[in-house]
Amino acid sequence: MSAPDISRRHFVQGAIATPFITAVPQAFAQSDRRPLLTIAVPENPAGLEPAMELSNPGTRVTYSVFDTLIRRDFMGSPDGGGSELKPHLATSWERKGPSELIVTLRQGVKFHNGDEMTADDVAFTFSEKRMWGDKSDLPEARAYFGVLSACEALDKYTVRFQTRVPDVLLEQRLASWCAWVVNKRHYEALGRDRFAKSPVGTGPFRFVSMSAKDHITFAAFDDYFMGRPNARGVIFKVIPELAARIAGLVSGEFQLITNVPPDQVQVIKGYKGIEARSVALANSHLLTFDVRGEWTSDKRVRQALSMAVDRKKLVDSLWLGKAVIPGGHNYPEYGRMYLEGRTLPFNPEKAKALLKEAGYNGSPIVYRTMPNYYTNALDAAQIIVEMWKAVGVNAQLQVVENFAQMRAKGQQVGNNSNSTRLPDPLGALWVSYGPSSYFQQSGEFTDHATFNAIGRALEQETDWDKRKALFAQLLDAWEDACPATILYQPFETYGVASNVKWTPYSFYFMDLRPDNLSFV
Amino acid sequence: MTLTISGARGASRQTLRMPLAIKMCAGFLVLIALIALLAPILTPYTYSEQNLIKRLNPPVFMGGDWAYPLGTDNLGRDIYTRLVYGIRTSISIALLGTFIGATFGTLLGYMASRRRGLVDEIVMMLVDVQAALPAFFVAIACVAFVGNAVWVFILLVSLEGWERYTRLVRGLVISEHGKPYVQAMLALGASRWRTDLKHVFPNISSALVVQATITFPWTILLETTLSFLGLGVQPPETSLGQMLGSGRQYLLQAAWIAVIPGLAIFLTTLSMSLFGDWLRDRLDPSMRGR
Repeated sequence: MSAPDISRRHFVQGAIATPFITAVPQAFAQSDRRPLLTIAVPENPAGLEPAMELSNPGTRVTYSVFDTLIRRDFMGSPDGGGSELKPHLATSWERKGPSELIVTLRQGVKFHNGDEMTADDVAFTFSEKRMWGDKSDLPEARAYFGVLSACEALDKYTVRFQTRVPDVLLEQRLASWCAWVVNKRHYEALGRDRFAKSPVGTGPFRFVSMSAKDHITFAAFDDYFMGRPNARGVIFKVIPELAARIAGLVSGEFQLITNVPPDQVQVIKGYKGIEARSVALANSHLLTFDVRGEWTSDKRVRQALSMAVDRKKLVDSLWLGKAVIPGGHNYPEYGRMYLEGRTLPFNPEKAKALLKEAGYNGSPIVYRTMPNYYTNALDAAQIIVEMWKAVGVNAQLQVVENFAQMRAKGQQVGNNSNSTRLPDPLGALWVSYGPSSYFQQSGEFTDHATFNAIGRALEQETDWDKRKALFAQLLDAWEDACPATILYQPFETYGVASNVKWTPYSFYFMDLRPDNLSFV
Repeated sequence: MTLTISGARGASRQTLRMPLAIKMCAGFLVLIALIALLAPILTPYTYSEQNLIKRLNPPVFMGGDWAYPLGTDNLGRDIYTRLVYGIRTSISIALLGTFIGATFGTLLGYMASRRRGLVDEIVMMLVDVQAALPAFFVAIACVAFVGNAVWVFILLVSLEGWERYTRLVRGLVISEHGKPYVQAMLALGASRWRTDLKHVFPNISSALVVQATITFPWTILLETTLSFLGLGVQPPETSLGQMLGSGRQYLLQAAWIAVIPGLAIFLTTLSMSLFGDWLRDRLDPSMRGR
């Protein structure tokens, strides 16, 4: 084979043509005139496995990468808290019995890698190995789908779900947390941990790159089954400092910022071209009590700490009265399961009596909190420490950077938030504190025999009156054991550039689908 | 000995000719020291006491009331009280940090000058390493790994500038040992320890004092920077940097939360720097006659 004969003329022609040829892809990219959306957040998740990253920062990001079979229509209510179920990856579903559901899938839905979504992907997503078996890859997912006994593909577009016991909530579960469908081929090729760093779903944005401490970048997935996304890409940029997030919004560097406390709303309103959008969250901020702590091992001390918190004062001062104090782990969205008339008691005298009865001697009680993870957490902690001081508790506040530091040895009080994943106690209290929850698995909550027995009975009960009675008992058992106490339901505020048409939901989910994100 | 006495007398005479600006600086530093010492009797509240109804109350000069003369912060705490305790915390940490750094650096420098050879080389290598590593980044890394307990924080602040004492002491001790009065003492049979302790150290102490006045503002700044970034003193405790840091998100609504401690930091470090410069001009033999 002879060497190519390249003359000086060819070389010069090539040199002239090269810049034009290499510029073609760039030119195409630049022809995409859709805006790039940059969202400043205090924290990003470490990975993007949707059934593993069930935290507030995790679901905020994964919600627009993956889809569920059934969609909860948040926009069905003007406050962003609608709960009607609508077809999504599934076009229809039918109950064949109290323990069986047949789901028909939408045809022609593409994953980001080009594969068509089929029943095999759904069966894999909800498989025993991945989700609900005793040794599943995602232990936390058992809290949501531990009720399953089988998920099988009947044909390319039909899936059958079966549950161990009659489950009135299965459709709700399929529209909620942990139910995001993953690409089987990609997942099996990479395994759980590598998939978390390079996810493939069917959502409106496909993964490009991530650096957990800095950014996660997505590009528009133009084959999305709901239509072409209205942004050409999305960047979730980590900006822990609130002042820096607001400054970036004002300067135009970010088009959207999260976790804005109410007392900064007026600051945002003072600028042209940006605005504050708020939503009451289906989420509660809580204090958690580690039973391994020296004094928090005594439930009377835990109950006293709970009773000594004046929640109204917290809400009035930190949330300008806009946060909500629920009646325990008990929310109106439970509908017929909601227990009217329950309250969270503020009773400093009883708290003092309980402390005296427990023999509390003024030893330090370590209260750890992160400064930026939960809006207003550090301010709330400082107020609560003073409230506890008033009943004789010597609380020692420690500011930590992450959950690992918070939950390390020595913690007695920490903080947490619980979302109402399903409009039922099984989708909130039971998910957060039941046998598969972090608190039981880690040993922070051990006094749970009564609670677990009632919860298991509730799982199997289909009669609504009996379910409600069981829920009342479950809540009593939880409040008596007191592994945690609710503070309030926060009022989440986003700072948004005025040209961004986007509605926040009552979860931390950020829905960037074409029907909820556009630009004017 | 004569040199020391005459040096002290000389310094005393110079004090009388202290310029007005330096007198003001000295006066401000005395005031700061008094505030730090007498904090509990100067304040009407405890530093963590809250009045949530009075959140973001402005100072008197901006229309506030005398119950909170410098206003309140976002949790309704008295800024004046927190400032007084903040000064106490910041000054204490900076003083302790400076003392530990100075003592450690001085001992190392003396050891290097005494032993010379391999010990000297190792010490000077450590000095070079420390000089090449910005104390601020070392501090951030340490806090990230070890956490921000108070003792860790004080040790980190003491990292600021120890190598300057080592270099200074080593050079001065070697230099003093070349002088006739030291050689005369040794020739008369005095032990080297006694010579160094009784004669050499008094003669180099003025340079160490000057060095301390130069290092001290930097230790205050290191403390305030780390606390500002949330790595140092943690709420509800207070320090100047911690107040500044927690006040920055309220700059547009309640600027006094950050501006007042910011002013305190500025004036303290400026006073100490000017006073230190003046002291160096007066006490450093190499600067005399300039």
